[in-house]
Amino acid sequence: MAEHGLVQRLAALARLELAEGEADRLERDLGAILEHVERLRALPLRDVGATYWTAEAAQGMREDVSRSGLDVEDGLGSAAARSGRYLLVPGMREDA
Amino acid sequence: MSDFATVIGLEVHIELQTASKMFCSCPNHFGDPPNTNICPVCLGLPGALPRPNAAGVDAAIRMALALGCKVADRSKFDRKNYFYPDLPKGYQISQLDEPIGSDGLVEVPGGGSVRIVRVQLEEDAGKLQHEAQGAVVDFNRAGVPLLEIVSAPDLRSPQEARAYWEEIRRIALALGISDARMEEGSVRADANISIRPVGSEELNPRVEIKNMNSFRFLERALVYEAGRQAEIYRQGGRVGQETRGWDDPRGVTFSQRSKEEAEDYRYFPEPDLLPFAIDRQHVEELRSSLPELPSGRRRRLLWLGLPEEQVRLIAESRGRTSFFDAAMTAGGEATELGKWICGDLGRLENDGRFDFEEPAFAPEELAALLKSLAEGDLTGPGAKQVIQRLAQDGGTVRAAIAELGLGKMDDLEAVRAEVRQVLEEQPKALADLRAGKQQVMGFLVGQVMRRTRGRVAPDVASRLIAEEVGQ
Amino acid sequence: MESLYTAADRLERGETSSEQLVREALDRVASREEELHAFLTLLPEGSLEDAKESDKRRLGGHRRGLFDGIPWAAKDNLLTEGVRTTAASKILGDYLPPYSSTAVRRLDEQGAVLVGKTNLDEFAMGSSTEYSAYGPSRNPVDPSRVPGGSSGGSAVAVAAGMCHFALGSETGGSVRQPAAFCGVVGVKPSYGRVSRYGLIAFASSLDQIGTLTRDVRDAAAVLGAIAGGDPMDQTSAASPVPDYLAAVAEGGRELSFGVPPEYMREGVAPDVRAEVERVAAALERQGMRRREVTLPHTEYALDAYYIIAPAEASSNLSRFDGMRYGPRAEGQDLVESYHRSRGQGFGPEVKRRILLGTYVLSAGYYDTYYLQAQRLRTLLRQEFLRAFEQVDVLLTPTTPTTAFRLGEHTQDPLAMYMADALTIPANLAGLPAISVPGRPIGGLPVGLQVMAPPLREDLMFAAAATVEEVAAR
Repeated sequence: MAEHGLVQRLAALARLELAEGEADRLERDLGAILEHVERLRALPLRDVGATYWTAEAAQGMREDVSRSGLDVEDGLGSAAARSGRYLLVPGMREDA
Repeated sequence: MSDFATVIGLEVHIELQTASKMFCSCPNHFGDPPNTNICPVCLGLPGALPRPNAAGVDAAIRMALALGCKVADRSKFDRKNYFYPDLPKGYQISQLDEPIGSDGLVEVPGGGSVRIVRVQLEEDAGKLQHEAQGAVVDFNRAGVPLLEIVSAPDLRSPQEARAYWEEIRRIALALGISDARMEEGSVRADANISIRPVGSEELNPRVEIKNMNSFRFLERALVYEAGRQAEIYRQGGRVGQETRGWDDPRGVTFSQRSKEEAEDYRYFPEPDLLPFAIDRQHVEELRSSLPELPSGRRRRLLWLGLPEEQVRLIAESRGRTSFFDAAMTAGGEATELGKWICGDLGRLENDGRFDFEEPAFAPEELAALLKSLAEGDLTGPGAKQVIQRLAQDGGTVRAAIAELGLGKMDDLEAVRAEVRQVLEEQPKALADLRAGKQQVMGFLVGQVMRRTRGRVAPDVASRLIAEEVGQ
Repeated sequence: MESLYTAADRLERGETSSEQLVREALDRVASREEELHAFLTLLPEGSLEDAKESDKRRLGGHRRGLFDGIPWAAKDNLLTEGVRTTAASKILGDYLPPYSSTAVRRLDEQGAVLVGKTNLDEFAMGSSTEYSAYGPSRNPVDPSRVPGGSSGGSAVAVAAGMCHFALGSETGGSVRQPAAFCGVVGVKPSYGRVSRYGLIAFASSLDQIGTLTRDVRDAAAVLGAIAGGDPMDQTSAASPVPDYLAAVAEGGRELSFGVPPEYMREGVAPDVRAEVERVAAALERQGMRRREVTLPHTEYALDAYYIIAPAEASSNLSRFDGMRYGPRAEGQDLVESYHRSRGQGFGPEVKRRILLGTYVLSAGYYDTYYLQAQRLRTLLRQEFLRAFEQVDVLLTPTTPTTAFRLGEHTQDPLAMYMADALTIPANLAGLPAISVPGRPIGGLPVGLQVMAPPLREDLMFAAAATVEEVAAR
């Protein structure tokens, strides 16, 4: 069902490193799941609208009033690396 | 280049000037220390949910109306998924297929009409800077409301593209929805450009040039890119569809991403935000409260008889326009107002000594000044002094005239006495004049002005000098 | 273990103290936690301090109501300010949230005493708690069996008397299914009834916070305490919260019900079906009218769920990238650091769902999978709403079987997914649903599910009170 190399392509999109053997296993699982949902794909639903939300009587929009949020230590206190008040992240390959 | 026609479309991004961000209550404020305006929502902390800002939606509706767009009855937000450190959630909340505005038209000054495909509302990303040890990220800008205005590929030259972008910016300024500060990156643009043989209707692959933040960069990048593509076709090559960046110091575009490497954004409707109905009556209220737009101002000022250069200068600024309008309402004559606003006051503005947005004196005083001039209560040079004084200290024309002692000298004999005094002090000039050198007349009139601090009209001074010399 | 109400009554009468209740809870944790592994974080000191504060309030005449001083536990995907929150994933490390979820805050404000954070399948993705990065929980009735999931730890904690009630979360049955397996009451409210603010998102259009309690009346009280609109969650319902306790007191004798045949097919164990029929007959004897209803698209619900939930999850889990929180794995550059942080931080089931979700949203597949699934959702919801024109509530089994053994399904994702087949439709349609214990089968608990129309938890609780009454006989 799932074509070969699919898992690698998806893993690249999803930024997921897969351990050795993990990709094969996931490819099998994905294939089985996709095969299962084939029945749904076959249903003639062209004229049926989609239901993306089921919320009823929900909250409206917010008024444009500003309020202070988190101190930098509360907001970025868990970050792996910082440079002063900045979040520090690894460089990008283009920079090299 | 003449054998190719250029086809350009622009995506203009404008940060909205709201009190709070688009999906959280953090202040939308430029220039604070890094990571000052942050909260769980705009930092993408686990468990946080977005809450849409009604003012952002209203600003988008107003822009859509100003661009002649249809405003949707129902709109929704979608997620655009990609990974980048300045995008905390790993997706941007944007709009895919139900934007707030669509199908508009805008007139470009000195160009044609450009179709607007869509006006959509989204959130800005944070700010990332490359540094030696990696990259640093400031999330103050993350979640700031951003309008994206997408044009049809109707622009036919880099110059027209620039003029279009400038016009969009002027409209945003006129609406007051953005401070549109180029230097702060509040206005940015992506351009799509392709070229084709003149007369041909074929669609060649287009190149996208991303993230330009100055009008000059845009024009230069498009000129370069049109030339690059023409060169490729002339040599029998094919232009590949790709994304390119602009390297301004080197004056070239460079490849960033080919079509094959293009991101798959996996858009889907944002489940955390419900689709929203846009009330017709509310739209009509917003429409009726739209201010005069730059194109309307230009038409009106031209009709009033102002020269084109002055029309352009006044119409591009909300402050100058409202100053002009208020002074005209107070009885000022349009072409005279135009001269003063673009002349003396314009120079003071350039020197940073006057601000039309927050004028030091009421626009009615400019009308009063013109009246004093017309009625002969004030001389031309005196009026210039009054303007300087008003710009510096505020107040009224009447008070400035009195304080500066600029009331015109009515007593002709007193003026004659001043003239004689000047001639006495300038024997050489007097001799020259007597010898028929008429060019010294100007100098002598100037001396009379100086002695009387401009309280004498120049024609009166020159007549009296002539009388004195002639006798 | 006594119910929340019994404990609150004893507090009121001065027969016990909050400190005493917390000590009893901690004693039960001490005796059974090693075997059952209900908790990921315990707060022995903090909870005793809070209990003493509560006792002071009560003695000073400032009791904050029913919940003041009552020990409770929260599933570890609910943010608790300053208290480690992991979602049972390595990717969050020992994350200390700077804010609490709205539901947790509402209970805090009413004086409830948090004793700990409970185990779950990583990011609530699973049906057995076996996908926790910190090891599985076990069923207190039979520790060789799973407690169900993903709110397994919360169900175990309540069932084993380690607290008086717990909160869990639902996306496709994660409260009702473990409630059924452990023999407690589990409620999934209507979509929007409880604010999701501060719940670590799995699938945003399906997620709801739910309750795990000893009985139906406790469930009504806890839901009443956490329900109601929240400006921080736009999808939360602004409509007033009905008096659930009044509904429980009234019972469901005046109501009509149906048992949709699609929930009683061969995939459901015969003795589970027999228990539902036994209770249905008993309800009729109580005066409840039974009518025929049918929900023909039920068989596709699982498929739609396994498209929609992973799709939303793949996007919701993008924020876990090792940069702003959680451990960061180093690489040669940013992209490699992303890949490694996420590759090492997420467990196998989470990866499976992220990849599946990425696939169904990717260019060229969106219409055939994601859109198709959302269309099916429309039919499901319409069918339910039509059924609710015939009957007030629906009665079904909560799960096709009783609790399975540890390891029984971990090698076969599809078999694991089947455990949610009967609970998923309520999530897709946004309905409220409750699982009430039936008469045990072979010594193992079994759950009876009552579903009601959207935002009609009052009907659900009224019927559930009667189900609880007849099931116990």
